[in-house]
Amino acid sequence: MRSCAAICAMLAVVAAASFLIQDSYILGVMTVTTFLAIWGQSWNLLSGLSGNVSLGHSVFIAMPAYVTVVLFQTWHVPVLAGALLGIAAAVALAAFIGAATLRLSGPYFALATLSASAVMLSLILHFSDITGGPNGIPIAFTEADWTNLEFDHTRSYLLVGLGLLCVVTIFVAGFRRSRLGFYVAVIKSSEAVARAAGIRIALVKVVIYCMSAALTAAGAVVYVFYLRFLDPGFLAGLTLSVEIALFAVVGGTGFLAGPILGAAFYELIDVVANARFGDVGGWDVMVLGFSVVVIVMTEPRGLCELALRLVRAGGAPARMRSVQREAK
Amino acid sequence: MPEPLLALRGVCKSFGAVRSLVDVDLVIAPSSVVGLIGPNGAGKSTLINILTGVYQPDSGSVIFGGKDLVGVSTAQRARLGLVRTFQRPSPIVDLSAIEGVMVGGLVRGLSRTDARAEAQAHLARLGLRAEAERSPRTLPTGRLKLLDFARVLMLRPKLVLLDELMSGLSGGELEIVLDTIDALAAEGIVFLVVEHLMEVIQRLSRSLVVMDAGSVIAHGPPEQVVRDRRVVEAYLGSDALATPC
Repeated sequence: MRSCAAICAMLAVVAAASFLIQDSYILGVMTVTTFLAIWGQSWNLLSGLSGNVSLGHSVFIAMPAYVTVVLFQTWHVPVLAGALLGIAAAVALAAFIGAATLRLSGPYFALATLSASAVMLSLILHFSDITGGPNGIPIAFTEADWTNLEFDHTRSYLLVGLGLLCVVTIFVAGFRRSRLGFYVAVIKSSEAVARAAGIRIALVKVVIYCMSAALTAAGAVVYVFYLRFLDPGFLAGLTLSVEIALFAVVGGTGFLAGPILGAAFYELIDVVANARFGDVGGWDVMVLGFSVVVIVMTEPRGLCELALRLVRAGGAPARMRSVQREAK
Repeated sequence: MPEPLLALRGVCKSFGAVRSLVDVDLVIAPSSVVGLIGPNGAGKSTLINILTGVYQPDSGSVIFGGKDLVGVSTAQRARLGLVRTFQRPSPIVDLSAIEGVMVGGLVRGLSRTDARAEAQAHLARLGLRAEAERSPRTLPTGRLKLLDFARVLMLRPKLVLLDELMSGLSGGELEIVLDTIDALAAEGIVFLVVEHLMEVIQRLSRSLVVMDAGSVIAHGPPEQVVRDRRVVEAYLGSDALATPC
């Protein structure tokens, strides 16, 4: 709970600091990072806490994004209502995929989710009269109107994103202390032990899969209105699914701050590599991949554990000095 | 004779050509501590897995508390009061020691406050009060096994299967567990104890079941069973009786 309060305070500081930044590129990078962190945090609720790695979380981004935008543009369904329907659609999809796949565990579950995301991309490309196929759907900006999630300044999307990230973080923190959170911890330790303890693991897993999908979808519906373009290759692509999983892994799945720190680190390296090597094809991706490998090899429990270790290492000499002083 | 708590009739289980359980009949009275012994490969683990629903028997029936257990999941069986511990310690690494124990109470529907209070009592009884808030990552094997024991007790069990719970405990820990089992057995909880430590089995058990090659070869008071000809043969080979030494 202390770490949850600290994270929300940090996010509030970032929100306040954003008013000092006028550079729209920097604000854009901050916004992207914030939404990636929301997805990382949502992914961690399922995969980090229960140990069932999903490599297909982009389906819960593409599904609500398309539902919201198509409903709005074709049937003029108000954006906020459409967004709720989009989130509901993502939850329904999670219940369906979950019921079908969560009896699998380990790499089999990961592969099943991976194929779900491939199926989603194929469906989007196939039904091109609704989805625009590979061309995607542009979202025309009409006027600044928060009920349509249309803001005329990037900062507004950043602030909404930070607020959402706070909500998701508080939700995950509360979840970990809840009855369900305890069950999930047992499932992660061993499914056999969980069954022997009377936990209905199939049910628990479907429920947390749906929760994770709902939180992911909530970020997605806001984010597409920031992008103003539905790009199937990005929204339903494999890259995004894998990136989302990486944030929590790089930052530390066992930490509330892990996915946020992971997303920030990843985006920072991405931006720097892109600026420095972006003109040489593929170099930026190589730098990014290499940094991730170095982090994971140095400290498999992630950046947060690495930071804790540094603090402890820094703290130890200080304690030694105080002991020496007392000795004198 | 009162209605048995557990009754197996003609239970068979094969894995390919390997016949792990052959026509097992076993009746356990509602009040007892039963030892289950047998050489490696005798079918003890398969029996536990059949009882807890990890495997379904190829044929035969398992009746627990008057209820046929065919098709009942492991989790449901635990909720019905048929619980087990595992040979290897099974700590819940992301929870503190007491939280891992509380899970058994939460499953029963207790609030977290009530579950914590009850878990505290179990930890105190097992001499784990000082470790309650620690992470199981920092605890040695013996303590972890006691935590596993506490977790299944939180389920308010009727029948507890202890799969080598006591191997790996220190002398002090062993005494505590033995006393706890005695006390709980007096309250009416039935224990089926799988153990290789003969002195433990003899001290605890009011009856002893011996398995060999997938069958129950003896079932009765310990002092009688250990003198049974087939039991001696199973453990020492058939030559042992022929050549007195």
